[in-house]
Amino acid sequence: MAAPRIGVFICHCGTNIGGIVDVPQVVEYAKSLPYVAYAAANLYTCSEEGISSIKHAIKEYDLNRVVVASCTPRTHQPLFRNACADAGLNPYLFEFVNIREHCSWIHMQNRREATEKAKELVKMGVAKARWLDAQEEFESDVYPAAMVIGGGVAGMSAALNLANQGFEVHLVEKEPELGGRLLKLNRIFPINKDPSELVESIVKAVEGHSKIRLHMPAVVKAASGYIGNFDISVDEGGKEVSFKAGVIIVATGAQVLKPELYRYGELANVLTQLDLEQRLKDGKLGEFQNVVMINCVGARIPERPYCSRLCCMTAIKNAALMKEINSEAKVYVLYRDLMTYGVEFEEYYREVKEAGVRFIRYTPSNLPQVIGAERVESVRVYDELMDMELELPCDLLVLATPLIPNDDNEELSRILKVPIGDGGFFLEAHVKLRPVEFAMDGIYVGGSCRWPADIRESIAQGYAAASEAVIPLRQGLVKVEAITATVDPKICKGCGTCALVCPFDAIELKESEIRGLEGKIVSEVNTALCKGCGLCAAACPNGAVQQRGFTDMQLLSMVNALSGKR
Amino acid sequence: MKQEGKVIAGGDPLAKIIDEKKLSLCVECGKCVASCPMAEFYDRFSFLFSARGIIKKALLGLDILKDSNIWFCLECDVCAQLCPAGVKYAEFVEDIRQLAISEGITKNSVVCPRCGRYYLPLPTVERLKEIMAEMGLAGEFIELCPQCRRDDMAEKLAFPTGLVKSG
Repeated sequence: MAAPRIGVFICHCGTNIGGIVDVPQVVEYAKSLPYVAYAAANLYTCSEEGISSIKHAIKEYDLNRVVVASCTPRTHQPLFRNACADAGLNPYLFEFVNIREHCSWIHMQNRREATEKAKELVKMGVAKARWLDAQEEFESDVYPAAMVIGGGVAGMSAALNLANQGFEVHLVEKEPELGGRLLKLNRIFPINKDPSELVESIVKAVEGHSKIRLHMPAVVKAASGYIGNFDISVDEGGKEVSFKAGVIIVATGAQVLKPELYRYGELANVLTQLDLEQRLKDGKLGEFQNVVMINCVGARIPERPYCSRLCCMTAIKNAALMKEINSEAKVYVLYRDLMTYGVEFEEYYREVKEAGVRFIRYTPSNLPQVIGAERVESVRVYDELMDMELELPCDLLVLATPLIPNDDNEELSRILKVPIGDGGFFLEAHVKLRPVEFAMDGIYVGGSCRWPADIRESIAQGYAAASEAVIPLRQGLVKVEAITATVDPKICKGCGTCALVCPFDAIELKESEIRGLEGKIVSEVNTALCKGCGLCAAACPNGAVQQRGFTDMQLLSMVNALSGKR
Repeated sequence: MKQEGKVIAGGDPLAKIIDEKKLSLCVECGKCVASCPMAEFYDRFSFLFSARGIIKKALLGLDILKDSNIWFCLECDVCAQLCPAGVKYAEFVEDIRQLAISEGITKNSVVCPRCGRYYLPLPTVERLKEIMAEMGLAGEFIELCPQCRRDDMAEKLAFPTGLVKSG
């Protein structure tokens, strides 16, 4: 290999870095470092001018390594790597040093020390760059079909979206009927319409779509592979069916808690909101005069600390409906906090108050009491502000209970190797930045299986998951950043520690097929599954596992540079 | 001490006033309480005494016509000016006082001895007398309703000059 010729570019980032760090001094220092063939400053390295200066210097000074000391790799690493590639240099021969977030922004009060720190960071980057290797990115084809698990409103929305974009979709539903939770509802808030209008049109579109293959009633039994290449097996009415899919969307929904509180199940006139919807739908509610609704039943308590988000609006909707059916009825909603988010829901809440529904706040330290022998006769509630115990006449008590995770979430999580978070719902990769993806590539999530979501949110999340899933389907090819782990089979002792710590199930112990090592049990990394987290490389007791771009040699030379050793 | 409230069915005239004065829109923000000048006048000022508390009691169907707290408000209307929900509290108080009197609840209403009409709540008259006594003014000045007071003055001042005829 040719001797390293490193080019170092120090960025002013306007005044972000240049206003604190003495950039010309850092440039002079960089020139003194070993193997540095060229060093210069840029006002903005990310500008057209900055990028062309990198490309120009690579050719002019015959550089074979590039270090940029500027902002964060999160936003600009791809840009600088591409600049290297454009100039004919392998993009993995580029090294990023952060002297903005890690230096100038946090040491604004001390310019001299900030400059010294910037020098040390650059020294470490240069030390690492010397040991960089050219890398090739792993590529694999994407099978142009998707599997959507769950035939509720989220799953159907996702399936339709993908099918309308021309991709084959396998829709797996465990019930014998499409529609999910929506089939059990009486009205939709805040428009107060029959959900069948909505659900029937979606079901019709799904059933009539030539690209959608329905598996119903069916459950996923096994899944293996990685993004672009999943082999799936489902149990479809006792018969095993296998197919391939490039991506998977999980939209399995949730169930409604049946509480063991407020004498539910014991007294005939105590219902959950879902029971009430069912009776209204069947026309079997009967006469009522005094309705009391209690919110947050079994939610926001130590064993179930989350807010189910849609029960407030459900209670408001059904309270309004009670008034609509019997305008003489007294309707009380007992709440802990009301969540009527957005302009539309707040407006709906106002209308319901005007219609005569009364709202009373209760506290968890003083729960409402149900009075009555065979039926609820009244509900006693303590109002903290008035310091008054109120007795509300009641002939119908309705409890708003939260959505809870489905019982089969754990099994599905095991089959797909996707995580479950607190409370038993599926856990997305990042709540804000990657809300409809799992950390595992190629598997997406939407609707109430992820967190309680109302109908509109479920549809939106179904579409969002489909929009993410269609990217690899459309590209037809997935690339994996070349920072994955590699195993040296000559050093590997087959202890399996790496396989044990891998969170992505990317490492398998196998008999080696390499000449001279035939039959030896060694670790093998599935590059398509590896995310480059580095756990295996850190855990390997004898250094057989190395992570590309973060090898022991590269990292130790950074540490040595910092401590003054060469 | 914990009080007990028995929720009674609100009578129709009361329900109509509650509706007209938009009490159900109350969001319990408490601006009416913060702005109420009564807090400085009365030591007994509390949640149940305040506009917010009375609105709440009215909405929950407690028997507010018999509640002596409704007789303290001066109807200055500051609360209604600040209310983000549009509750007309001072107008509400005026109407329920009239309703209470029409239902025979009169122990807190002061009637003009000359014309026989209700003109001020008893707590207001008492407080005014106290203030006027401190200022060295005659308390009986407010024994008549504003109209009768004017008429009384007119008679005393104008009749001797012959400018105004009686009756």
